[in-house]
Amino acid sequence: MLKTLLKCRFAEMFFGLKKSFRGSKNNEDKMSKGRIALLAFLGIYLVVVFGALFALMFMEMGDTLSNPDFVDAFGGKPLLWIAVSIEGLMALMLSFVGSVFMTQTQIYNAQDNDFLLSLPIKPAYILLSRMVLVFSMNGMFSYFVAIFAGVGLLISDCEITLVGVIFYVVLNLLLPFFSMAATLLLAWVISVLTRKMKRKNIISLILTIGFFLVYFYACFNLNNYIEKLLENLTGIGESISGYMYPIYKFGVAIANHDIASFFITIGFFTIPFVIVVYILSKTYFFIVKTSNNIVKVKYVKKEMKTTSPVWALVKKDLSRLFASSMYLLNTMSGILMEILLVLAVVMKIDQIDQIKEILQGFPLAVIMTLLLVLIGSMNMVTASIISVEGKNLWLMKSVPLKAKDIFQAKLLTGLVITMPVSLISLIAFAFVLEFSVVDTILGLILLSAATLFFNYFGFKVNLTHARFDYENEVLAAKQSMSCFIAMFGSMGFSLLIAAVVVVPYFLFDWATLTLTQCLVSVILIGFCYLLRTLIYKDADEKMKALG
Amino acid sequence: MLRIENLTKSYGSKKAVDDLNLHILPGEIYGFIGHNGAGKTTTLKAAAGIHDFNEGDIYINGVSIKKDPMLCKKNIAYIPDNPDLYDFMTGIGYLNFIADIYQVSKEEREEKIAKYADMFEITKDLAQPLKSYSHGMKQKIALISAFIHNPKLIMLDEPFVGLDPKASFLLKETMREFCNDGGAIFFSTHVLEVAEKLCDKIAIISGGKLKAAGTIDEVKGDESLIEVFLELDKAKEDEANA
Repeated sequence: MLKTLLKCRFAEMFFGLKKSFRGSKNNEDKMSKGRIALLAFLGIYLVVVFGALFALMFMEMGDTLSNPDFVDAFGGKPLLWIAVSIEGLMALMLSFVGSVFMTQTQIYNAQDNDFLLSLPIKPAYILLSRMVLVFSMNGMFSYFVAIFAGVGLLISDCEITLVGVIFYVVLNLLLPFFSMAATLLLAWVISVLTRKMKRKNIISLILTIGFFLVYFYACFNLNNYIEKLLENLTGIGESISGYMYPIYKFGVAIANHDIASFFITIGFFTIPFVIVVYILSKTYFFIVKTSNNIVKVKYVKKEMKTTSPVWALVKKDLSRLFASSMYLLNTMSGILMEILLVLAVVMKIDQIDQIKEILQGFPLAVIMTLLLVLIGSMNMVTASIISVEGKNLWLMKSVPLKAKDIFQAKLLTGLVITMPVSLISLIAFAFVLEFSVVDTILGLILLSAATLFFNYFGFKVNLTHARFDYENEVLAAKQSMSCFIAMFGSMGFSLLIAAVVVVPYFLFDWATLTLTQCLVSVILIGFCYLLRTLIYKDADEKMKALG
Repeated sequence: MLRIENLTKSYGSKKAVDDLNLHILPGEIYGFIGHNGAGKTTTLKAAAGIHDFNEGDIYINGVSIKKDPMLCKKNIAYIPDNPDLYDFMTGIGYLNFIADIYQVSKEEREEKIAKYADMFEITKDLAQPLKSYSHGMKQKIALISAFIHNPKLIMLDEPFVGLDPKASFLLKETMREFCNDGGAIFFSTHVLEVAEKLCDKIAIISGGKLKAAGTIDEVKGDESLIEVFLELDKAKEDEANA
């Protein structure tokens, strides 16, 4: 039975992926050669770039930590464990972020839960089959880091033994259980707390964001932890235990071949998982059966509000966004990052002078503007806004609205969501970091132009690669060709924007940052006009061809 | 009210609708009968401006849907067989949204919603999200949304599926009332008894081709409607085998 369920889960996953990357027409069963080439290129690009990044980083780290002068400076004790601990930490964090969005959907909100629970299958088997899928997602990210970091350490000057390699492989194989315990726990807490709540989506959104705040706080403080590690090398045991004891043990077990640490780490990785699985299996049936219960809201007749058709569409798309915390987080991670960045700057305001010193007179306003442009490129609202119409597409096609108005409403939705937060973030920086009025205005113009451009770009990509056979909007935002292209494309454009603003300033005497920012803003607005023309050209025909 | 002239719609090499002609007058309830995959939904979707078509034309109130789709869509309401509505909205939110799209005045939408929601006994559930609605409840909301903007022609794909007996009865009454006021209704159904009792005219479609059309008496003659339907269906099978 379990085998059949597992086969179904994996078939579903691979079918979903295959569907996502197929052509935009429903009858297009096979991928075109161009699409295969593009996917292969992106896949290789990801593996090579990120893989090389990890390998080089850990090779460098391994070389530094095995340098005799460096070792002597820290009392002559072997330091390889630091690199291994950092590898463990990175694998843990990446696998957590990579799988957290799918866990809730897979475990508690899967559409076939009712069907499967009506069959003579033990709930534990259903839970287990779903967990295998979540584990494979955790493992994919975690093993990616482990493999390339391991290669980097192997080719570094570090002394690596066979026992070290075996310990490295075993502990890294078990590491995803630890991150999975965290994602499962988060999904369980959200499901338990929101089970009988009226505003289920908002509560689950707040809980998820809260969890992320804690997570990012930990990430932002990673440097502090590493500094503390280095500062306290002599009295390591007691000073580290308060910070990252499991990860410390992970590093020590592998680098120092410490058997006790090896088993302690195994305990740390597996015991929380076993406890979480025990809790989940005991409550799974109950939560699944009651989590879809809708709290009865009595209708009270109120005066109705009227609005124009375009704004009615905007309000509708905004309601859809805020109706699902997972869809919201997947499409608006940039906004979340912007808010976190503002908070981080306010919290670390005492360190700004040091940063200004490092910048040697280069305006902080430009840096912060470009940073917000980069973060803004992570917003994927318009990149899936057509696809999420899914089974409701018939409605958009049957209403007496021009396709141009429907497209305009969708673009407006993207702007309503992304533009205010970006601009307010920059204004907040301007106040806190005391930017000049001119720098602020230039920054606001550039940021507005870039935000507008990313929205148009995402929409154009989605219009070309729209698919409507998703089971829910989270999948449209996660597993779609359009989001994939828009994400990498926008990130590439944001780096290009930064290069065009900054590089001429250093290369040519005539180039001022005011000039380059104005130039880039004008170019971006020109591109927006071009994209707008392309989107609106034959809009009615494009609308009819959708679906 | 609705004139379909030589409508042909193909999916690849397969003709879903083949040279179909139909004429529906104001005040008529017109039933569209056919087996699964006969071409009923394709025809309805083409008339609603959802599907493009290869040949022919469709006129709503004398206006070609190809030439002025916006004007045509303002005059019609279409409800598919499975009313996939916006699940994230509440019932009242959805109705208000549709009223905004069709620019129905505040007073008129309040009056219409109150009237039809009370009639279909769904008023108390209007604040609930649509995802909590049963198929029948969604169908009721879809029907209210169809009546809210005073269309001249309503096109319904299997409207009675999922409705409880009382709601079915009320829908039939409302359909008749709507047509008595000068509107027209074009609906598909599998239930021949409903077609026989409710419709002024019927059309039978098989394999994308119109097999018979006219008043009930003209179509069935001395036979029962089921006999006529089965005969036409058998003729289609023979044609396919030949």
